[in-house]
Amino acid sequence: MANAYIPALAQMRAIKLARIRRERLLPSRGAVVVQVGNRVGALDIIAKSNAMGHLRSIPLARYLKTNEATLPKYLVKKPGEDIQARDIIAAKPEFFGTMRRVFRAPGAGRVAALYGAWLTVELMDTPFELKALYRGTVRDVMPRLGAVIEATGALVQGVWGAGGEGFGVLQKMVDAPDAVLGEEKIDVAARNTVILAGAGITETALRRAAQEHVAGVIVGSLQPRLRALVQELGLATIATEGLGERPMATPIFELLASLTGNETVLNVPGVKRGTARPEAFIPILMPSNTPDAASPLPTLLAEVSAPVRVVAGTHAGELGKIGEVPDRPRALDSGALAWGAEIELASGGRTFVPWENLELIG
Amino acid sequence: MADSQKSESLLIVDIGSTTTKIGLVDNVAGEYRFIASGAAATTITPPDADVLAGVRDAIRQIEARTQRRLLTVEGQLIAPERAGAQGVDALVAITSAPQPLRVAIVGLSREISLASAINAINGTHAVVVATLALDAIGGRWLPVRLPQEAQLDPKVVMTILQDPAVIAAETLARANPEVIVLVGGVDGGATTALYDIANLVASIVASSDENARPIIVFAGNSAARAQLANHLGTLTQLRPVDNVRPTLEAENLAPLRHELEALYTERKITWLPGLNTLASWTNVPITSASRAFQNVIRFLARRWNLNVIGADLGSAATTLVTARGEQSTRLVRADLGIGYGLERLLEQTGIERVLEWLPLEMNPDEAYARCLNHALHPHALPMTRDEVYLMHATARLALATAAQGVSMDGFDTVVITGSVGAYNSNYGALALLILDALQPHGIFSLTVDPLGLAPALGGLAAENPAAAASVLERDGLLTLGTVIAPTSRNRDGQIDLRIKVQPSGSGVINLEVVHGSLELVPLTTGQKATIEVRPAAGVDLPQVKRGVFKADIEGGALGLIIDARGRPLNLPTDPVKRRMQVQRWYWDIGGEVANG
Repeated sequence: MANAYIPALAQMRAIKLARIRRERLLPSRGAVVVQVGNRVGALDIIAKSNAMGHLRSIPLARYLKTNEATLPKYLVKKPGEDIQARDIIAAKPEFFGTMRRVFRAPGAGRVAALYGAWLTVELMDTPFELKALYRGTVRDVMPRLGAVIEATGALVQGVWGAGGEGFGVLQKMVDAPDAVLGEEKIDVAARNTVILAGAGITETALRRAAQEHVAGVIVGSLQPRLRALVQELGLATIATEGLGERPMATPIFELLASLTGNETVLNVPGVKRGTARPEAFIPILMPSNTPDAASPLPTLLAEVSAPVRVVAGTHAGELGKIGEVPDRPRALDSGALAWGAEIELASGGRTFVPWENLELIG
Repeated sequence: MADSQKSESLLIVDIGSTTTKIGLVDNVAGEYRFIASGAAATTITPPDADVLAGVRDAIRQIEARTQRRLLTVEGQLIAPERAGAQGVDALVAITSAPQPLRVAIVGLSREISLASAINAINGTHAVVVATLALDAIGGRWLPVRLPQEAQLDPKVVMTILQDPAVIAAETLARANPEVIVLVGGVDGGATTALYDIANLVASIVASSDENARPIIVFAGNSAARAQLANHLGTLTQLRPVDNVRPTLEAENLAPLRHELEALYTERKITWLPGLNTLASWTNVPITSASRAFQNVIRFLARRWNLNVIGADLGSAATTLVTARGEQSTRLVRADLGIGYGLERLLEQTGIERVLEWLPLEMNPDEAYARCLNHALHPHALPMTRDEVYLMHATARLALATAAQGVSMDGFDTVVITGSVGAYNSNYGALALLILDALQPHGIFSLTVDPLGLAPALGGLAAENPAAAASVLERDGLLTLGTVIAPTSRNRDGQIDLRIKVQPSGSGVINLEVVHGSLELVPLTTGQKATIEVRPAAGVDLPQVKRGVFKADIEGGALGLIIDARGRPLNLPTDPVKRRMQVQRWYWDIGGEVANG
């Protein structure tokens, strides 16, 4: 076994109770309104930003029928000045001063710059308010950027997610992790809840969920064609297994099902490279005399007996434990030679899985 | 670090977007040889945003496999090599891990200067996020073209704004490019229109946060440089290069490419988390993988006086390099990959094109979902027969899409690298994948990179050229065989070629190859053979002179492959027949994948 080596593996978190820290950041610089030590609820605003402006450049010289050299003298609002929609930004007298050719602000914001023949205005989008999302205690504040919140509860990470953030009471909608959620089970009782589905959710069920103002969806997998719908509906959705129709791993389903009735948040930062995984967090209040009773997230070590999940191949989605680690690579049916381990599957049996197809779970 | 002149033992590191691969090279009995390798997940994203985590993991695998200590307890590289075979003398690294540069092109004419700029950008790690063209004659902004993923709500823009100039400006601002390539005008031509577009660019740049202003690369009429420096140089970094279109007839792509390559290094590679420490472990700069791969292909072309085409099929990007004598071209498609880049590939081709290359029936939705799941776990190895065929089909599409417009005539050698070929002994399937995707024409040898480290050997050439050449020749490439691939006007079943094969040490083999067939004559590695190829009327093989081609060839992992399927390949339109056809080709070349 001299050559046996277990490499670092990807990690997926699914844990019933842990103390976690999460950075909550504004999309652009703004003001943080909480302080270290503040206790915050999921919907509490912790920071605000007004600077979500977008730039619009206008060929002002052409609009005013003049040249760039004379343009500055026609400016009513100078660069840096705030503007409201329809404010006159520039005015040029015509017909011996009897009339004016004007350019009005296309929206509220500020005059950003006058450069050559072009005027640029920065138009303000809706002010952005950053919610705490994680019920807990503010542990650090990054001025103008955001804060770090420490929270205690259950954490389940997904493989894919979309639709932003969601908050509501967790409600189990299906009885088994391989069940597909249909629209008939979603009614007014689902309003403002985070619903737990099994292997999938139908298109009509997604639409009904949006109609009933469901706060979020946790599902095993989602059909690829429904990804755009989730975005369009703005319905926070997390898939724990991937895309298509894959049953939710039974331990994950059971963990979530056991927490039915608890407030739950969904945090979907996106699925681009470099972003954190989407996750569901269910805060669990600790007794006030033992606030630190929950341990921090345990370090997942790649070692024999460590719990793993298979991410591709015949056993994709299955959970198991690292068993024997061969000291030689093995040939796969594809013809590829791969290093890996014997995995003792939770469903029974053993199978060789390349390291590339495993992630630690816990 | 060790003196580069004495580097006898080396680690070669390739930090890909998905996998970090490392090879140990050492001098064995006077020859540089590949000793062992390790591969780990690339670690540039949370929770391990440090390239060194992946690098150390891969090095520790080599330690375990060779019982040679390479890292200190603290995780530092042991260098130079110490007594008792501890450590190495040097380390070289290349990378393709960073995201591509986001580039907007602003210019005068879409058909002329913008077209040349796009050609130049295609050779670099960059994606075009917007192209804006001012019609130089009419002085009107042409309709904006956006890539599919652009974060712009066209409804909002089109309803609120009607002025094409304002739309163009807003598009540029919202595209949020890291680099704006400004082009237009032939050298010595008029400059007025250029100043107009420079004004537009300046207005956007001037309004942006000073710390986040895009860099402007000017590759237009050189007569405008001084005035543009006054306009734009005070606002942001302006980097003028030679005109990408100095005359209407001629392109000059190299200076713009070189500048973008430099920007990729400055702005992307050096900003990889943990790269500074890795850089302190090496004597030579950490370069882009595509550039290193080009070094390899150029080396092969010079070393044996060959025309070579090489393809690097990566998780996030596909690189195509050609070398004919001293001439070399490089095409980087940062939007085509078979891992992270799979979704963007499918956006361009559609899942139906993938299904065309499967020898088995698969529901399009299921195939699409499987592809997307692979993009979510791009490091995962295909295990089942379905997964393998699906990966090969997507690899065909990535290669074929990248190779569109590239002439496949007259190459002597085709080289493929990337995860699809590394440590894969199904050589028949690999050969078929390459032939189907690139469809080269003529007589050439087919070569794969069995270790997946050929690009890193291109990086090694900067540290120790002798070691790079030695490993490349001895261990770095595996010849699958010689391919004879004619074009033909014949119909299926008619004779295309008459071939006489005289393997050393055995009897003559006479073949009549019919059009539409794919044949394999086994010739083992090192086995020599003489071939005589006589094409029938209407059959074209560039190497044939006076009706016959004679050559001495060497075998390979497969042998002599005769691809008489014609060019371009025509797949049956009927799905059942098409699947049977693809299946037959897999059988013919011995590439069938076992049931998992």
